[in-house]
Amino acid sequence: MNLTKQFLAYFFLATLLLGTFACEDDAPEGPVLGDNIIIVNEGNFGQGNGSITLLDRDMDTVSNNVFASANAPRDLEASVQSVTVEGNEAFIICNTVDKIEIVDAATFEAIEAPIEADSLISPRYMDVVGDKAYVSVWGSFDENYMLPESKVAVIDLNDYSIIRYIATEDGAEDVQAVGDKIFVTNSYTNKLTVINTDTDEIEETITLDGSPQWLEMHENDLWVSVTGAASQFVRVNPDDNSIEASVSVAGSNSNGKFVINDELNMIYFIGAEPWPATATAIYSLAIDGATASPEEVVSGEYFYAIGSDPVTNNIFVGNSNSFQGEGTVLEYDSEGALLETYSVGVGPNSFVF
Amino acid sequence: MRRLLTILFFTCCSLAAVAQEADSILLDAVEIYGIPATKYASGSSIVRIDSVAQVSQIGGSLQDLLQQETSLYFKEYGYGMVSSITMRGTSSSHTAVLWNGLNINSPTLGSTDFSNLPAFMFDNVHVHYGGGSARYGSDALGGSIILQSTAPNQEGLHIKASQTIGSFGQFFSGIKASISLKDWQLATTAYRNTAENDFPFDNTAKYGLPEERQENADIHNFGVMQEISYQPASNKRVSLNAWYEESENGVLPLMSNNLKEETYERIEDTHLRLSMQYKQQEDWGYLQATAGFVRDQQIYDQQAPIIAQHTLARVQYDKNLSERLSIQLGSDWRYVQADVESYEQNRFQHRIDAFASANYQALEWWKLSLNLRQSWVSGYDPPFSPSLGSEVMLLKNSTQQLRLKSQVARNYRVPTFNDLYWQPGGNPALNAENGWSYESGLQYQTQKLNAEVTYYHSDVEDWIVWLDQGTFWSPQNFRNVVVNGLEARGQYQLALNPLKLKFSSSYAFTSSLNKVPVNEYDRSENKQLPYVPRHRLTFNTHAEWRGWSADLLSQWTSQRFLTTTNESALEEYGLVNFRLSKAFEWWKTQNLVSLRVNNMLDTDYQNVARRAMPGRNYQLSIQLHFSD
Repeated sequence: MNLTKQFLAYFFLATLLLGTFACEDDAPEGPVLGDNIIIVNEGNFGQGNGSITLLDRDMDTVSNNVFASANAPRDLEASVQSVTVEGNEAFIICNTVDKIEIVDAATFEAIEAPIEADSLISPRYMDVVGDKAYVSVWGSFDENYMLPESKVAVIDLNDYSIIRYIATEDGAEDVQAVGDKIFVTNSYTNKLTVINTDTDEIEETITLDGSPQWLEMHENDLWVSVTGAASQFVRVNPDDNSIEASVSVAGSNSNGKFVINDELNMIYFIGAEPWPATATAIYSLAIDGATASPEEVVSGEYFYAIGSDPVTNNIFVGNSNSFQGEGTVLEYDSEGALLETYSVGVGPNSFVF
Repeated sequence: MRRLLTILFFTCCSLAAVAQEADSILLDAVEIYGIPATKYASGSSIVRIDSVAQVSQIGGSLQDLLQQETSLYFKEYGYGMVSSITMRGTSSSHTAVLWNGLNINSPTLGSTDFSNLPAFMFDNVHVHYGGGSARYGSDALGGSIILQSTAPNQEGLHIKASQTIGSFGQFFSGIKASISLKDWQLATTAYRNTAENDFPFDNTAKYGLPEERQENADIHNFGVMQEISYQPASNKRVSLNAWYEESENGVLPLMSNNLKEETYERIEDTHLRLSMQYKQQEDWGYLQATAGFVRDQQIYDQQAPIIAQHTLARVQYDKNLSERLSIQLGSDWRYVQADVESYEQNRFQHRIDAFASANYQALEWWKLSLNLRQSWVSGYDPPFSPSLGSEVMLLKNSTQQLRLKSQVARNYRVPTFNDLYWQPGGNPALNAENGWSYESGLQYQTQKLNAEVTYYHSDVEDWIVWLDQGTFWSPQNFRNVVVNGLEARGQYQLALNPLKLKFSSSYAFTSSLNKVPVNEYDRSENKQLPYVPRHRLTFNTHAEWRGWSADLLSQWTSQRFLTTTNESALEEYGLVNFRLSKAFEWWKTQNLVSLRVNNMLDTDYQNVARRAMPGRNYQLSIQLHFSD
């Protein structure tokens, strides 16, 4: 073959290879962050020592204090309640210093000044519909330690401005977007709020048999964890806001924190024995089957966070060590065998996969 | 009108500038001083704070004074804010603070806020390093601070007025007046200290690292102490002491909350302390009876006030049985009452202590001190606390002295009311924290040099820690802490007339390790406790020349860990302060003008994480002493 032809062949091969890589980018979306799992470390109450840890799934290593490293000399200097990833951006929702940091999801470098406002008192969780973000806000405590000023803040993601506040019941906590609706658990009451994001008004308020805590989607259903005398998991139809089913988990001391593994059709939740015991456990609850009951997967002390990796189906547990110094993340397989432990920040409270 | 103002202006009191360190009862026909702090303490490290240094610290708190003159470490939440002491690797609730023999630690917190103790009030401050429960009772695990208000010992009228203005709106006015007539002595001390504290700093907690002015860190402190002393006979004395302190401060916010007014909090503290003491010296011995009352009130951010009050009584009998042996016997009674909303009901506690001490001169060069104390507290019994100290004179001649000191002691700390009764979580089943400590050291003295080095070891068990129980936190007798440390102190005086120089230095090495992890994943085993620096060093130079005096005061603190696992830390830092003053006489007054530069090197540092500290700042003072 003469030089020109060789060159052309080479060129053709290169383009093919490049094309393959380019195609990879267009492939259906895998886990949000590629090989990194975000671990949210809450920090000690009032001390401002919350942090973010990145766990490299392939290398089985952790990088702690990623925000401080990316933004030195500035650190979060706040408690971190949650982290939400949307596209290339990650939103770090902080308390003690009430703010929402806007960072690059890959490097954790701050893109903009954080969102702060006089009425944004104790922001908690966030989800996104279109180009609007909905953030649950506790508001101030009154003299009876109730939260009468709880609301949802609606944020325009084009300029990060707060458009409006929608008043909800006490203790607005978890937020879940489903289609063009936003569901909010009002954890100090027995109400689940449904917000229509076209009008940004409350469409309906669903009454439950206990306090709603967490929300997760599975296929087309919305699951709500409910705590109280009748501890249970409730399945809600998000189209007509009706309660379809409820599964009791009485006796497992569920504290409402749960995740769902879509592939295994499994709910994993934390059960914590009441004081003075410190024992905690992770339970699994099969979603299919009307007669499902919770089974203990692993037990230990000071379990504070639960996560399920959609890539490996491994169970991630955060051990807070009673907030005495930095905590640990434990990785188990779905049978409950311990695979790895990682040294993370203070009070690991959630995972973002 | 002018005359009145002049008289008012010159209302001051000059208390004794330097008192003697004495090992025996100072008895003379006119005065009864009482038992010095150092008696029955052979073998232990007790140091009196240099009164010259105290004069230089006018306008500051006891924390400023101790931090500069000793190797003690204070955790202060910003300049002028809540300050807690760390002695020998322990926490602030392990230091007893005694005023006229009464422990003034708050019953709810078990500690004292040193920012509420003005240096101006006391001219007699002793630091007793190490365990002293046998001597002073509960809380004296890491050490004790002994404050005494000495009765004035000079005839006539003495007045001292102090005025300081400083950077960031600081304004200090203080007055001490004493008068001695026949059998009566009266002394009044009053001061007022306010500061805006709006120092500029680079806010590294905010996006864009803006330079800001500190807000909500203003301080307003006021205090007054009245002492009345009556001597009906040469061997009897009655004294009454009333001390009132009031402070209303902003709580310095986290750096990231600076300029966010809605997060600002305020704190108001009032303290009322009364003590009445009767002393009598006879052939059959020395008798001292004290009655006291302390009332502490704190209002945090307009919440329900936290009120704790205690009534105390103490009886003490001392006798020199022979030339070699002297003993002390006594009993303490204390009734504590707390009115705190979170306790859900008013709480009470009775405490009775019986104690005995003995000094025995075994040989000409060997002195022993034995202290015994047993305490009974409603609800539980703290352990029996003995301590035995020994002092051996290894070398003594006309120019030098070398002593070997050692001591072994059992110490304890009763749980605080917050530990016992706070709802939710309070644990009434808690035991007292307790431990054994051992120390040994050498003290060397010549005419010009005074040096001391001490090694100590302390093992504290049942250390109370608040642990997360799921829905709330609760204290447990959980931890075991082992402390090993080295303390060194030295002072060297040099006279090259007309120049006088004095160098003083102190160093502390502290290894304070946690021995009990919370669970199998707790990485804190054998790690240093948070906020206990491994090294602390001070070095002060004082020079005097024809009425001028200059002080160069430097201190260095090593890295402090922020968590029990030692996985996050605050950087080490050094500070240098400088003071220049000139003495002059005018009419009947001895006066002093001084200029102080604090943080001369403009060091950017943090004492408590995420709270800004001021850079270079200045203070100008004038002090007038009038004596008739």
